[in-house]
Amino acid sequence: MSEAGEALSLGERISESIAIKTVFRIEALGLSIPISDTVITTWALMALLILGSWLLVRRLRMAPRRPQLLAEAFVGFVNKITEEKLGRHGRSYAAFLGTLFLFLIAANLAPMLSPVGGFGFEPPFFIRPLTRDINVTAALAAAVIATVVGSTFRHKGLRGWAKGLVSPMPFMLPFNLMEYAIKPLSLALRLFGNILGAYIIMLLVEAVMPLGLPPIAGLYFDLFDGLVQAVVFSFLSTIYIAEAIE
Amino acid sequence: MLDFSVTFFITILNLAVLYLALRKLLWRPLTAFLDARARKIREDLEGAEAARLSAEASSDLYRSLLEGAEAEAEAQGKEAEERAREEAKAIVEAARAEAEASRAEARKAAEREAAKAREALAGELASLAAEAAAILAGREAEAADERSAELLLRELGAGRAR
Repeated sequence: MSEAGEALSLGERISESIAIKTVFRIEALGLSIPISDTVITTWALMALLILGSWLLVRRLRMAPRRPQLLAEAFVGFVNKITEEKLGRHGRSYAAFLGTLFLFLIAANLAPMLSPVGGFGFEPPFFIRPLTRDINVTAALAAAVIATVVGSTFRHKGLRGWAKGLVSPMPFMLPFNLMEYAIKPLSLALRLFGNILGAYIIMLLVEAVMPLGLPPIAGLYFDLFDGLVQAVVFSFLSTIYIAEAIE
Repeated sequence: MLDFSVTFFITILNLAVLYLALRKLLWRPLTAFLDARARKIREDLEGAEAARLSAEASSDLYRSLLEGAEAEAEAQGKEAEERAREEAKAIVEAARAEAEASRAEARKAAEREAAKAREALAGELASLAAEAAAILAGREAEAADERSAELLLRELGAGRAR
């Protein structure tokens, strides 16, 4: 009975941790817009990224120091990858794909900076992974598929897009149309499922062995998995755009 | 957990804002900076290559000039040596001619002196012979006796010379 009670208690704790909470509401134009904790965390990360970018680029030196070197390496890496995959159009998509990649890295790794409770200490706030919210991953996937569709029209025109729908054979039309739903769905659910799964595992690890194991397990489930998912999402987005403009 | 909410639209808006901000604040300036630096490095490398080629060309030019100067110096040396040899030869010839002339002059002077001495000796001999003849004849020698003795001696001298 007591074991069932503890299991229920653990389940409740996990449910409580992964639940998306409305922090406050914005009343505007007769609408009551709920602002969730993921939106607050997104704003905080955006502020951090924008401020960091401004500070990094404020005084660029010909002989760079370490922070500038990191920024140059990141921007150079994204520019190189996009040029390799998208050819001469690479530069025009580098900023979008780089922003996506940077945001995903920040979103997936931010929970590692969350204050930890215990021994009677209750932190004032927790940073939970943004991408445990399907709305966030769906929004990212929607932005990608909108870019894909926009790129198709921009580079091939309406006629080229229509021709692509029936290629290589006309009977492929339904499958090609379905791709516009499958691609974003797979992007959104892969990211959501992986991050949520890793987060739940980490909650279980913390519940079973609060000391010692969580930092080690966190290296894989928080750091490695977070980075891999950011890379996979960004890389697939690049591939989808490359397919659209080739 | 899988409920769709307004967060979807807010996140799209957030992503658009973040994209525009990072494009303006991070991507454009940093990409432009990287391109400018790459261009500068490329230009510097090209400049260094041009300078190297120019230095090589200058080196070749100086080497050929040096070789030309060395050849010219050698030619001038040979010419000077030849000229010196000719001048030395001319000086020696001139000295030899001068010595020959001096020797001929000296010979003539000696001959003149010898002739003069002979003249003087003939006069003396005539005088002595006239005096000797006068002593033998037992009278005083006269000026006509001396002249006769001198003529006689001359004829005798001329006959011995033949």
